[in-house]
Amino acid sequence: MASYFLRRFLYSILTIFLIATVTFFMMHSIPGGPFTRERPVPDEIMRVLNEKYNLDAPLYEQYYDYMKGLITFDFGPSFSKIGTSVNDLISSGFPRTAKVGALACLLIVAVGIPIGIISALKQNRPIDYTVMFMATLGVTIPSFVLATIIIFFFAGKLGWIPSFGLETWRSYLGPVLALSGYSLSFVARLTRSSMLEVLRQDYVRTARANGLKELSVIGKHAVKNAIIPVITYMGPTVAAIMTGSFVIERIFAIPGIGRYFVESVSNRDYTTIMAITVLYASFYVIMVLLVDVAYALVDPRIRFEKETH
Amino acid sequence: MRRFIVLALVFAFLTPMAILASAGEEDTAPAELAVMNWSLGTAGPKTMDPGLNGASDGGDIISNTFEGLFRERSGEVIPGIAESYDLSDDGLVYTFHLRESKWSDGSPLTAHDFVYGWKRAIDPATASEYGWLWHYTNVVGSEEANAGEADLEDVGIRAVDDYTFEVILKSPADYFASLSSFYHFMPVKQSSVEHADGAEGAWAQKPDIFVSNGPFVLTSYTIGGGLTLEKNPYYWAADEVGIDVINVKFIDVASTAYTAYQAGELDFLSDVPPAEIPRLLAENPEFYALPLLGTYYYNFNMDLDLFADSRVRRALAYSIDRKAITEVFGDGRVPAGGFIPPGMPDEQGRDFFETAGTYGISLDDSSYDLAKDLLAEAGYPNGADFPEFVLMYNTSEGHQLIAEMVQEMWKTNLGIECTLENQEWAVFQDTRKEGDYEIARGGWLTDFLDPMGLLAIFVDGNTYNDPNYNNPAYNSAMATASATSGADHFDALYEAQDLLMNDMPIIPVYHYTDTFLSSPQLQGVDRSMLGSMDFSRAYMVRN
Amino acid sequence: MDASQFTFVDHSTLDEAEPARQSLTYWQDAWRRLKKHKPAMAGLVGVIIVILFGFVAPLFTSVSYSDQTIDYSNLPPRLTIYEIADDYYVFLTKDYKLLRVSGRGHILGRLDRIEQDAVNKLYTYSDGNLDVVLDFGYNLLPGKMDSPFDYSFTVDGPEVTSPAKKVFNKTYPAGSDSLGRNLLVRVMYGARISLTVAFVASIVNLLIGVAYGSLAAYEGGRTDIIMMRIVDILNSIPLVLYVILIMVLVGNRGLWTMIIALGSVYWVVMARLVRGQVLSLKEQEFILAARALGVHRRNIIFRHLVPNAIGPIIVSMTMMIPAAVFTESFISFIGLGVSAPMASWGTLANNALTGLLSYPYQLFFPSLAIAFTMLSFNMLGDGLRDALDPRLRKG
Repeated sequence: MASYFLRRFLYSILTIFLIATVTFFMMHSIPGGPFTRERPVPDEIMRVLNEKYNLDAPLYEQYYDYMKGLITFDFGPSFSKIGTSVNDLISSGFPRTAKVGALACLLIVAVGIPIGIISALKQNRPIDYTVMFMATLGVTIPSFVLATIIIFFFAGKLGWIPSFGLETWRSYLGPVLALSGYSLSFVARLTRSSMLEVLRQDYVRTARANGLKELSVIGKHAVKNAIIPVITYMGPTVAAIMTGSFVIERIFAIPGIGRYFVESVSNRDYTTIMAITVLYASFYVIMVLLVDVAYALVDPRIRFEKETH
Repeated sequence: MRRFIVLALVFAFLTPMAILASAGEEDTAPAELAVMNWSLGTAGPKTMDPGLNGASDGGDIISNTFEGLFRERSGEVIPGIAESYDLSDDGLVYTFHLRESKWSDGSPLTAHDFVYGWKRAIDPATASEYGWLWHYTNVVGSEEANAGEADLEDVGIRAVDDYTFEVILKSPADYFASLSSFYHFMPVKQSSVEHADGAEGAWAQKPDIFVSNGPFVLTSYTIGGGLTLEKNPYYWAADEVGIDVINVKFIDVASTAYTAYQAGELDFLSDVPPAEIPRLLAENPEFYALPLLGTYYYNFNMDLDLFADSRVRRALAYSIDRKAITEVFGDGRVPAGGFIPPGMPDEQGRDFFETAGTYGISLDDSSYDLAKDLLAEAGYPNGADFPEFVLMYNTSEGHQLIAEMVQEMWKTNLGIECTLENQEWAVFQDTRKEGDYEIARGGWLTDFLDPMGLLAIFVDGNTYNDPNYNNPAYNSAMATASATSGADHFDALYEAQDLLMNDMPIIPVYHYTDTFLSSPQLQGVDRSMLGSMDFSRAYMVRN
Repeated sequence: MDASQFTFVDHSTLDEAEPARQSLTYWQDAWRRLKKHKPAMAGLVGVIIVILFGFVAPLFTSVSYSDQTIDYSNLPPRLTIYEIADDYYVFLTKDYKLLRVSGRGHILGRLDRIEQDAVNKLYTYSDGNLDVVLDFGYNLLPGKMDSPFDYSFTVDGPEVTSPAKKVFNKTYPAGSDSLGRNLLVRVMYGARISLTVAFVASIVNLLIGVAYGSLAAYEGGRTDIIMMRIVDILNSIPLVLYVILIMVLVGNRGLWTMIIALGSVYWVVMARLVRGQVLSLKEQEFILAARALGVHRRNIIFRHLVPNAIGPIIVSMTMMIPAAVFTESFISFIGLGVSAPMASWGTLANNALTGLLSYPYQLFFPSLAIAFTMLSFNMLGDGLRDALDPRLRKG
């Protein structure tokens, strides 16, 4: 198993490298560049700018330079904030994004899984219906609407939280809630369905028939087996949430990095596009790896090696 | 000839601003700091370096941190660092007499700082986005130097002595004084700009290196979050500055900022949610809508046979109900019957917009019949057999609304069908530049108070001539305008707009407005005609 | 014991005594059980209603999704009307347009604003022969604070300060948008796009996602690693970049390009989920048994593994429908997909956001449509899950 995960780790690094490569060539093949303006800059200025940022070099050379920078964690200068390096951009924004994201992940797991379990145990009772109704609402209401309503209601009408920024602990409430809404509902729903499935399994029946305490049946056997789809779902979700959401950060005016996922592409801010993609990809690839590790821990029968049959 | 500078250009239609700027005598209690919270309406400026900036949000900050030769407030050009100036009889040599003033680090500010700032802006190595503006300054050698074709030493800018700054033009430019109040023409301090501790342009966002000469200095900056400006004690008119601290917040979602404003978290809002505007306009005296010097229009692709006939172009232009369009937005934007917006005075002080008239373009629905006749004359009675075409715009809700209305108006008024297509901004620009369109949206804002700044884009060969319009008469009228001043200058411009509106390579739709909310506690706010907010004489009133 | 003690059994009685049960295939059995599942049938009815709403109902309206009446913009579905003269009802919009309305809620026309006194908050409207003065200074002007009402209307006689009644908007049952278009009709047409998207997304999820994920997990080893790394790459490339590239390479060919864009990346979540389930299932005894019996790989995957993972598959499939609907609106915002004035539910919801404070109903109806669709699919999905679950199979 250990050698398998070592191999997986090497593949993960290769994956990040491939993602960076594909993104690099994709962004260079779409129209527009970092200096595209409503008022095109004069040719001479354009020439100087391209030279300054090494954009006049052949693409393969730029690619080589970029990859070199990637290995040394030097992402180069930002095109959309003059005088700021992309490293500065990330080191200034990422801690805030990650703080909001970590709280949201915590909320998703700490609330989503328990209510999913309760709902499954009380199948077809009012509490189940309530939870499922809320969960349906939760995935239907997109985060941009949820965020706008939270600001309008809790910041505007009631004045409980500030409308923007991250200056006090209260200001975390809005973004965390808006960020976790969808995934929380998803997890609750997934947990419930998975639990129902497991509760019908023979071994649970057997355990119950053997007079094991309900709590131990659920805790030791059912939940453990029902958790696999939740783990699968949470892996990539954690990566996405920890790197921030474009919509949420814009609406709550959070100076994080989530907004760069769309803005950097609109601005053709090449260096930021690359940095943000590589950051997300790294998170994602690591989470996916951890998910497989978690599979092995939860269900020791799971094997990743090829079958010999 | 020594002139005292009161180039008063005050326009009657600017009344709302006058209300804002009134009551300057009351003194505020100095006991407490006067703190103002301002939402800039964007995610933060790309740069706050006067030489590099090319965007309005950066301009808003710069006009509060720097001061050039003059300050332009509501169209009135008032003395800044220049106390007075002389102009040679041929209108070509400006000699500015500077006041003795200081940088925010206490060091003296001299004419050499202006020379450094201006030449740095011209230098192609600086790669300023606004370098093209030098073409319109008429400063000797500046355009050539910016294009890398001439030496910076030969540009007609020099410091005669520490407090005398001289500029030589190749042809007269009446608007030079007001142009020089623009953020591109600020002095900058060499030791700060070239500070070893930071990349190029980094000085303008690092409070410990940042040095300026305006009413406020930068004291903190958070990428994507906000910045703090504090009163500059070394500003030459520091005793007139009524605000001690400005907290600038970067909130780019209008509804969030609006909620914060209503909750009292903000005093000034540069971006008002469009849907709230009609109601605010009626109910709320804190709401302001002021003209912005620019025009929203559609380009015809003049290279296509479809639009070769000017009757077709005019029919399409006449069949739009511009009043209905502007009413949907309800924010005071002005229906456009020409290309020049209100707010540009000619040599007699008349408003160019009013004098030029609307060239038979009715602003409401009254020229539909004329449009139908023109289309019939061109061979498409009731729109029969008119080929289908695509109306293209860059992705935005506002552009989409306008395109949807225009599409419907052409369908019902002319019987012409078109389809709409939106493209992502950079892709759209590429499409438009390549001429790969039939009708495409356009918009233009000027950066100086002269119709030249707008009409010049339709001269053959101009980079921004998207319709690819080429009329020799128009080109020569514009050439005359750029070489002359006074009546000759404006006569040529009136003629040029006549030709443009007769040929109709574009469909003017409306002239832009700027909207904002300003708390009653905040008084004395002003704004330049070009749209930069000016808090240099603002103050807080406590209830 | 001799032969006489035995009689031959009549074959006909044998048939009666032990009626042969018609053997049902997996799918026949599933349908049989689905029919018994009440919520599932309710969900099925819901899905049919939504399909009828989108594809049949527009045939019965004379109004098109693009018809504009700018005078009647931003009208809510519920109107508070004032009776300013005998049987003369008016409705005041949030942007101070005055409309004449019938007592039953039909919009009859707009009164022109002929005079406006912004300082004293007095507007005068006229329909040609009747002049109305609106005073909206109450609770706005210093002298008129703390008034129990906000508006008053005056036509010659006394001020009318209290609304006559609240009526449903008969002309625009779901209200109108900022160009005076009928929102109900727009939501109907929007259903066509959004349902297509929901359908395509589900199919892609089922066909590609499930097959891909289960194959990767079943094969394991290097195949699994490589297949899942492809998923990682697809998942990590910024969607915006990808969509712009398609737009530039293929151009916008309407809904089809949108479907290509959405379909080619949309199945990755499902693939990962199925892989996780299959990884755990394939080590269970019944799979080992099937394998020992030499069952073909394809049959093991589709007959044994996938049906046993059907719960999470169906739940995720339905839960991802709203996400697909909103991704569609994001993609069409960048420039792929159907062009304006046609608008999907996601686009309608998105466009309503800026006016949320003043015109919340513009967001409500498209959102309701999405929620209703999702709920229907969900209930149907729950039933399908039970029906398709092999462990619940009887006989």
